Amino acid sequence: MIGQSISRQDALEKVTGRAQYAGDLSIGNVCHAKFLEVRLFALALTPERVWKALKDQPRAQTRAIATSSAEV
Amino acid sequence: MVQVQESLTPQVITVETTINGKAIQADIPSHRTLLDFVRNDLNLKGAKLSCDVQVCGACTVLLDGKPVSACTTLAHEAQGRVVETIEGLADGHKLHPIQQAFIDHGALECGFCTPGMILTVKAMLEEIPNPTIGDIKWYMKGNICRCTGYKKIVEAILAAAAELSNDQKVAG
Repeated sequence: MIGQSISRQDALEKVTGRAQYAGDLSIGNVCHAKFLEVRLFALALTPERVWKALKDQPRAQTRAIATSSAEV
Repeated sequence: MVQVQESLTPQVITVETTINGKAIQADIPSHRTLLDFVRNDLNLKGAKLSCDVQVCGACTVLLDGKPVSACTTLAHEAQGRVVETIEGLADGHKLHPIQQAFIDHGALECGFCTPGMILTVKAMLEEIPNPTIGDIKWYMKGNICRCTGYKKIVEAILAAAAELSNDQKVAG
């Protein structure tokens, strides 16, 4: 072994395209989430204002927004 | 205005194409990319989505033997043409000499760029059977390896080129 090259254990999967990466996994029935930056001052954070800000970003059906822990 | 709206309506196109040697007929929305088609409809996940703007080469497939970025190629462009993905390269359990050279020379780390790299190499060696290091750097410039293992990739390509031209001498 000393002085000899050994090949990677996962090399075969990688050269044949069988290696799975996060984007290749499809497990189904999962929630999708995306972080959005809401440009509001923290002091003025109310559920109504967050709702209004998100309304203009139609990326998903918004069911509920929890702001209580961020409210002053 | 009506014309504009009509042109924005996705149309479904019946596409007949050959993918990895298999004849495929499918009804595909006109805006569907070749990458979405092979990954999500045919479940061939070897081609990767990365930059999505034809810069990184991770989504490379061969269209009539030439490397294309499947992320910016529409699926219906494969109409009547031959598509090859990494899954079609090995002959059963027998690896293609380029795949074997990548393993033997440690020319992969995370492996994300590897399917695209290998397909580009295949196209290059059909065009330039005995490339110089300069040829390799020029031809492979559209395939980016974020692990930056370029030196070993070049070594693997030189070895694969030698192997393939030996095979041809034996066969010829």
